[in-house]
Amino acid sequence: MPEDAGKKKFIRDFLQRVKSGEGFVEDIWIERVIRPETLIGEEGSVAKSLSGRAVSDITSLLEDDISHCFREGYFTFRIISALRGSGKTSLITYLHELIKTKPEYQKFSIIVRFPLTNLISLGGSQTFTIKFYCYILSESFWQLLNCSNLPIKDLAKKILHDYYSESQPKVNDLLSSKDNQSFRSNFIKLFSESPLCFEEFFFDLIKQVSETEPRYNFSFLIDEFDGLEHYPNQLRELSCLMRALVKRAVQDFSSKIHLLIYLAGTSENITSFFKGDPVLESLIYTQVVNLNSGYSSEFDQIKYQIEKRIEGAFKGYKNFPKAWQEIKDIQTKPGLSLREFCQNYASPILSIHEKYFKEEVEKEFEGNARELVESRCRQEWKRYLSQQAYTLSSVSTTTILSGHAFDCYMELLHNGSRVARGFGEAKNYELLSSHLHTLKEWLEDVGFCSVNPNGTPHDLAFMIAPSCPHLLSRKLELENIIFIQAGKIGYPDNDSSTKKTEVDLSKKNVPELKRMAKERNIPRFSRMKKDELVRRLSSSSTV
Amino acid sequence: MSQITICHWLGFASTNGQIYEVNGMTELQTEQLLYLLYAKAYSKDGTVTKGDVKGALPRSWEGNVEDIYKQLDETHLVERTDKSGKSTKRVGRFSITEEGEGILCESLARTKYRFSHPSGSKITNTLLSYIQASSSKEQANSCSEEMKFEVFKEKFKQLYFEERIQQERRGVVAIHAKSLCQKFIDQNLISKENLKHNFETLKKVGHIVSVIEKENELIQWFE
Repeated sequence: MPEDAGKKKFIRDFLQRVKSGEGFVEDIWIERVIRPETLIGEEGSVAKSLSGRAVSDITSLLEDDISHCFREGYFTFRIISALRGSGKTSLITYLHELIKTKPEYQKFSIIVRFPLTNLISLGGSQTFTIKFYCYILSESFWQLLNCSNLPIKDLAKKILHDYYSESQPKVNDLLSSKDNQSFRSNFIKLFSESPLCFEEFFFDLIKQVSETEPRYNFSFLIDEFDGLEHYPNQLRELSCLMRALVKRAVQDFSSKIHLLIYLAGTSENITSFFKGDPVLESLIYTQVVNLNSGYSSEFDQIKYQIEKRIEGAFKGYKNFPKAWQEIKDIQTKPGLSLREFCQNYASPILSIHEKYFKEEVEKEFEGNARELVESRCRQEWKRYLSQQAYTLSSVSTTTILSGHAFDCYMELLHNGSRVARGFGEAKNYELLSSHLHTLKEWLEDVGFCSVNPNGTPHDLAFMIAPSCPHLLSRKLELENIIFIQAGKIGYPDNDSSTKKTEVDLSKKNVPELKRMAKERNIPRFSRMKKDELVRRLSSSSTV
Repeated sequence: MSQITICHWLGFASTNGQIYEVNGMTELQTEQLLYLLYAKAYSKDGTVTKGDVKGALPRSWEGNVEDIYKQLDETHLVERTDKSGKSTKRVGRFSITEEGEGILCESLARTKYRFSHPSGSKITNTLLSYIQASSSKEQANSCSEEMKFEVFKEKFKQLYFEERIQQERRGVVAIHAKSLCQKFIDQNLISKENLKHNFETLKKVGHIVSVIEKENELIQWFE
C-alpha cells in the first residue's frame, strides 16, 4: 500500500496555513475592492491607477501596474501602507506570483522580493545605502547570469568585468560562485570597497539590459519596511536613496524605464517616513496604496472558501451535521484585522476538524472522473486516435505508479505498445495549491513528459474538481496540467454552471449581493447572511 | 465634581508649600500657575522649550524659573518630550501633561492674581481659549442628557471619514485615536468621560479596529 493512497490530510494542512494568518495564503485569496478615493459608506481600499485606466480590485490594480511597467515601459513605484495584519505581505507576494505565472513576463523578469530586515542582518561595515545597492545588484546579476537568454548572460558578465576592470580573475571567481548566497557575499566583498556610484551602476545595468532586450524588467518588491523602525540612521539613508532613485528615474529617464518598486510598511511608519522627507512625499504621494484592514464582507468570502472545502471533503460522514453546526456557530470577535480574522476563525475550525474528522479520509470525488479523463484524453490525442495504429487502453481507477496512487490512469497505445500516458487526480472541493504541489511531485516521480518535440504524442495530466482559484489555474497551465471543472454525479446538468455561478457570486460583497437579491425579488434578503445570499442567488439564476 | 480629576494621583501635601491640596484639590502657587500658562501660550504643536518660557516670562522672575520648572516636573505636571511630543530623557523641551492642563484650567478659574505688566497676544489668546473651553464644557455639563451612543456613532463616523479623506489626499492614511477624539471634543458638546465611554463602546461592538503602533493607537472604521 503506498503511503499516500488518498490519505493525505490536505484540509488539515490548509487549515494550519490559514491559522498562521501570516503572509500570502493563496488558497483563501480574496478579491478586494479598490477605489480611487474613500467614499463614505462604500467599502474598499484606496489607490489610484498609474496608467489612468480604471481599476476596481487588487488583481486589476496589480495587473495594471505590471502592464504599465512591463508592457508600456514606465517607471512604477508604489508604497503599500496599512495597519499591521491587513495583507501587505500578501499583496506583495501575490504581485510576485502574478508576474511569475505570466510566461511572457516571467521570461524577461528580474524579480527581487525581500524584507528590509535582510539588510540589517547583512554582515559588513558598509553603509546602509551600499548594502542596499549591493544586495539588489547582486540578486539582479545572479538572476541575469542564470537566465536562459544567452546575449543577456554575456552582457551581465561583460558589465561585471567593465565595472571591476582591475582584476579579471577576481570577477571570474565571482562568476564561479556556486549559489546565490555565496555570489552575494563575493559580490559585496568585491564591489563594496570600489569607489563606485552605486546608483549609477544600478541604472546603467537596467539601461544596458534594456538596450539588448527591451522586454526585460526589473522588479524590486520590498517588504518589512517596519524592520527599520529602530534604526533611525538607516531609515534616513533609505529615504535619501529612495528620493534620489525616484528623481533619477523620473528626470534622467523621463519615467521611461522598466523598473518596478514596491515598498510595504505600516501606516504609522510610512507616515513618519514621509514626515521626515517631504520632498519624497511630494514625489510619490499619489502612488500610495492604502489597504484597509478588512471588511466583514471580505471575512465572509474567506469563511465561504473554508467551509465549502470542509463540506466537499467530509459531507456524508456521520459526524458531519454536528460538525457543520459547530462551524456555523463560530463567533468571531468584532473589530479584527484580516490576519486576526484568519487566526480567530481557522483555530476553532481546526479543532472541529480534529474532533470529528481526524481519522476520516477526505471524500473522493463524487463525479465520474474516469469518464471525464477518458473523454478529454480522446480529445487531446484526437489526431493520433484517428489513425488505426493508435488505440486507448481502458481507464483504470486508483493506479499505483512509483509508489503514488493516481485516481485515474490510461494509456495511448501504438500497435499495442504504450506511447503516452494520461494521469488524473480528482478532488471533491475547490483545488488547493498543495494539490498541485503533490501532483507535481508525483508526476516528476513517474517521469511525466508533457512535451514531445517530434510531434509524437505526449503525456497528459488532469486535475478534476468543482472549482479552481484563478491563480492556481494559471499555475496548472504552466505545468501543462489540464483543469477539468466538474460537479458531482446525480446533480442536474447545470450543476457545474451552478457551482461556477456560486463561486463568481462569492467574490461579490454583501451590498452588491443584496442589490441583486432585491432585483430578483428574493424574499427576506435583507436579513440573509452572505452564504445564504449566494445560494439563493445562484439557484435563482439557473432556474 | 467637575470634569477634571487631576489631584488624586498626587495624593500629598507638599511640605514646603510648593504644591498643596485644598479640599482634595491640588492648588498651584501663583508662579507655577504663570509658568504653566506661559508654557501653554508659547507651545508649538504641544511642546515648548524651557528657554522659550524663560524668555517670555517677566524679567524679574529669572532667578527661580528653574526651580519652578523642577517642581512641575517632579509632580508630573510637565514631562520632557521631543519636538513630536514623544517622551524623552533629554532636558530642554517639554509638554504640559494632561494633569497639568487640568490643574492649570482649574487654577485659572480661581486665581486672585492680576497682571501688573503688559502680557502679549499669545497670553491673552490662551486665556481666551480657556474661557471658551470652560464655557463650552459648562454647556456640555449642563446638558442633562449625555450624547447617545447612536448619535455619537454617526458623528464620529462622519468625522473619521472626513479625516480619512483629508489624509488620503496627502497620501498615507494613519488615523490616531487621540487626535481624532480631541477633534471630536473640540467640535462637539461632550464630556471627556462620555466621549471615552462611547469610544470604547465603538471598539467593543467592532466599529473600530484599533492597533497600537509605536505607542500610538491607530484606528480604522469597520462595518
